[in-house]
Amino acid sequence: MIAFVLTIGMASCSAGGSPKQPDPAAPASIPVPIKIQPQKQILPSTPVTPPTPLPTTKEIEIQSPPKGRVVQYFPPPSPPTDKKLTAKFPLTVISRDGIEMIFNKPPDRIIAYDAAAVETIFAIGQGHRIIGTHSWVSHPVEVGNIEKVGDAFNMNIERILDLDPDLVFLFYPTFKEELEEAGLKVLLLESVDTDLMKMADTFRTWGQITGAVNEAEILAKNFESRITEIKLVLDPYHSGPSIFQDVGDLWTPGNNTLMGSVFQLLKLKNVAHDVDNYGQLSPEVIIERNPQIIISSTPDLIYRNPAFNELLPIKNKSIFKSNDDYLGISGPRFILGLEELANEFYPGLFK
Amino acid sequence: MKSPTNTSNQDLVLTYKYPWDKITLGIVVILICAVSGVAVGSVHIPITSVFLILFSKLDLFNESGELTSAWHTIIWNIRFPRVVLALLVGASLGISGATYQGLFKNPLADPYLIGVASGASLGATVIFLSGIPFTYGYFSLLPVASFCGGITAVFIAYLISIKSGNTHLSTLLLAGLAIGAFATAITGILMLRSDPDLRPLLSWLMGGFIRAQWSHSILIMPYMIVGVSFILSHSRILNTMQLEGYYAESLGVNIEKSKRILIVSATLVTAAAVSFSGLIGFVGLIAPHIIRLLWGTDYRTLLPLSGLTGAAFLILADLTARTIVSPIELPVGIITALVGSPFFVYVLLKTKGSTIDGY
Repeated sequence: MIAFVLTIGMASCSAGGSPKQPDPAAPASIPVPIKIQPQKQILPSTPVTPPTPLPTTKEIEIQSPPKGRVVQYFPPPSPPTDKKLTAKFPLTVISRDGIEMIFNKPPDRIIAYDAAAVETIFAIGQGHRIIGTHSWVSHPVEVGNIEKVGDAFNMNIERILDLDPDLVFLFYPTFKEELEEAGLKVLLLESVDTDLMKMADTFRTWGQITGAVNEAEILAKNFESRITEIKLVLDPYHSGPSIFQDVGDLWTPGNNTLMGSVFQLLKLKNVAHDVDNYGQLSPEVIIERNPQIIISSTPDLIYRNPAFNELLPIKNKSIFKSNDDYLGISGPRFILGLEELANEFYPGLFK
Repeated sequence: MKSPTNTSNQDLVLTYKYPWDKITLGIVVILICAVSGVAVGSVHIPITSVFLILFSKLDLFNESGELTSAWHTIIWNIRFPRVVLALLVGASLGISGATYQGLFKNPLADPYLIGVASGASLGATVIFLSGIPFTYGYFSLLPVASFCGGITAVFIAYLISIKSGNTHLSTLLLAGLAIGAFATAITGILMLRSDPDLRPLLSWLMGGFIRAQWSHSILIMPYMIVGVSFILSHSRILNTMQLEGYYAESLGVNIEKSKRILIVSATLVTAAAVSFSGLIGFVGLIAPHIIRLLWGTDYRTLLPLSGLTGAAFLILADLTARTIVSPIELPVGIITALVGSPFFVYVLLKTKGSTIDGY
């Protein structure tokens, strides 16, 4: 881990790097399947101090990922896996609290109480196994036919028992004990937290559970290669513009958040770098730190506040409206949101 | 019910000296609070620069170029409007709290207990969730909607208390509580039934000044001026209301009419306060009590001083909320409760001998 930080440091730090550089340089991801070291020698650590956005004229050769990307996650554009995987049962899955769960066969009646899980299971072609979810899950369209057994605050446990599921997947452990006491099999997976690559692992885990290992592997590989490509393209650059994300009333993700990791991957300097998790950032701090990019779910509120008039994104009317459908759910569409941001902030850099 | 030592009742018939000294003291305290509120924040700006920015209109002192302009924005467009809005809201809550306590002769009456605030938030929630754009230049639907909600809640409570054949004020208070609980439930249903993106609404309901702008102060000002002047002009009648009913009527005061005027005015003031700052509890409750414990229960003194105390308290609470865990802000309601309650207990203990009689 330290070695990784050092390589990042060597590759990206320049002598003239500003001492106020806030990036804690925590690795956005640890296990990178495709080694990107050679790239660093080809493009030596030229201290590119980018104006906003990064210079788009710079020619960069990309070897591994294919050109002509399609903004669509399925079917994947990435190289197909050559060897066929086979699902193994009985299967042991380690849950978030470290308990081993044994699956003797793929569950047929899943209550998936989490938008990301539902999307993932559908993306690997196993949507028919889901018999229930919560009322805020809306993607894909087939979800319309699936029974909603509650919302984010309430869960109709009686109805769940009535549906007789053989697996209940939860994101929050709120109703775990009640469900287990009722004799149901309840699974919570380790959350993605701040490590983007864990998302691919979650896809694979769903592949193993449902038996669709190959589809899951393709989905995971696709995700990983697209992340790696973004990394590769941005690798020669020192650091990008500063960013402030407003998720409503100046609440913003800081360190130890998934969005924080996204910003690190995109080499964006989060103005909330000294905020842990989510916090409501003081407006005067936002003005002082002068973000070059603002993402917001409610841009109007920021445009209307005269205090922010002097900030560049307000002057340019360029507040980016975040797509919460993509980046709000750590499922297969997350990468779309990520690529959308990358293309928005570094126009022309990603082909 | 009245303690015979209560001097304020005697003041009714004796000559009354307007408490200019206390008012002046209050204004000085507010000025000190306001200056600290403008001078201190999560971005460190040297005090000399603060004054230069305040007294000049920039440019002349443009030593560090861009930075100065950021500071200028921070002082003029963030801290100053925020302090002013906190001042107005604090004063509104203090005065309306004192009015409600006097009207209902109940030490626990405050806008949040008698349903006004819940009704007002229901009104604001409806506007929020309807998706109607609610700001038109210097006019905003938000105070209007929260006033409608608040006054409806009070009006229904008033009707209930009349229907029950018993215009006793405790009936009105209890009815207000019930209406308030009902309005809160409706707000909850509306929120659950609507689009999941409730964050702006939720943070509005939580209360705070993070979005404060000059226009907000300008928008609530007219409602405040009208409401507060009605309340202040009725302060003698509020004193009379503290007497037993037959005595008050023998003084030739039309109690019922004044009651209605006071309820509408206090609701107007509360609604205006609530409309941009959201629900901030505790100010309307403690500000009048502190004054009562310190300086007695004459409403001619109590009302303006409650306003001043509420304003000073809320400015300081907001100052704390935005600096204590900088660069993050806390909801100001947390601070008002956290700082307000121990201070209130301290004042209670300090003035053990006297009573908080005379609502």
